[in-house]
Amino acid sequence: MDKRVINDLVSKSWKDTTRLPLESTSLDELTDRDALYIASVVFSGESQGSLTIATGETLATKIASMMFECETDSVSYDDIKDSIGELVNILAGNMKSDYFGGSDLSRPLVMEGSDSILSMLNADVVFQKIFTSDNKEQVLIQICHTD
Amino acid sequence: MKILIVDDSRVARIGLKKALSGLMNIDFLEADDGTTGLSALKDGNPDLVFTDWYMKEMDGLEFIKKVRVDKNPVKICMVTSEANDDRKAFAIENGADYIINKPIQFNELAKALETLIG
Repeated sequence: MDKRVINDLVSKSWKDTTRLPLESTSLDELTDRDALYIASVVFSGESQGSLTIATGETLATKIASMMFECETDSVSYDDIKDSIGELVNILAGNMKSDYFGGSDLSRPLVMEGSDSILSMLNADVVFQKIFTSDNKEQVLIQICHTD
Repeated sequence: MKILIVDDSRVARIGLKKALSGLMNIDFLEADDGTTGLSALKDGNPDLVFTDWYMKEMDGLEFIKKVRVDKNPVKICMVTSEANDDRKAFAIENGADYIINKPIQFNELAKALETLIG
């Protein structure tokens, strides 16, 4: 997988969906780990893997605010779950034909927690990057793949 | 014009409603999966349907197949994040009239409406 192509594809889908910026960083892991929201879609079938995004409550709320076109103080917990679930679904679907051909997408799984690390067993992490979005809030985007 | 939107994501339904409202005056019906979509289709008799592909209970493809088994000729547009050529052909073979990609682009939506309702 060409990481630069994946980076461009993820960035375009993110910006088209959320209308928020997405800037690359050189960070290895999230340093802002309070109240993480994690959304994941699993690819199954001929080609298997997962796409996961993880971000803090502030950016998750902004994402929901942008996608629902409402003020951040009116965003509910369910709005956040719906928005980041839809976002990860769009990111995964937009790259599926290029990188996970012949596979099916799961419905998005949304989790919350703090200081948590998720690993997909028996899979390689083929893309993992920390980005910053509006006001430097961090988001982790990770893609795993297994043959 | 009455349009039924079938999608298990509320934010997706709201986004599509806002985009369509910018193009014409529309009365909307909503459903959050294929099963409730079939009921809304029967009760509301819409002119056009937009449906997501992956949903709980009954997905969009199964929904379209059931609509066509019932001989309902309503125009149906599939909305999916993976609208590549193979998926488009597969959806059309199974009864969809058009397929557009998520995230929805305004010009793509306008083209879909032009194709489906003239």
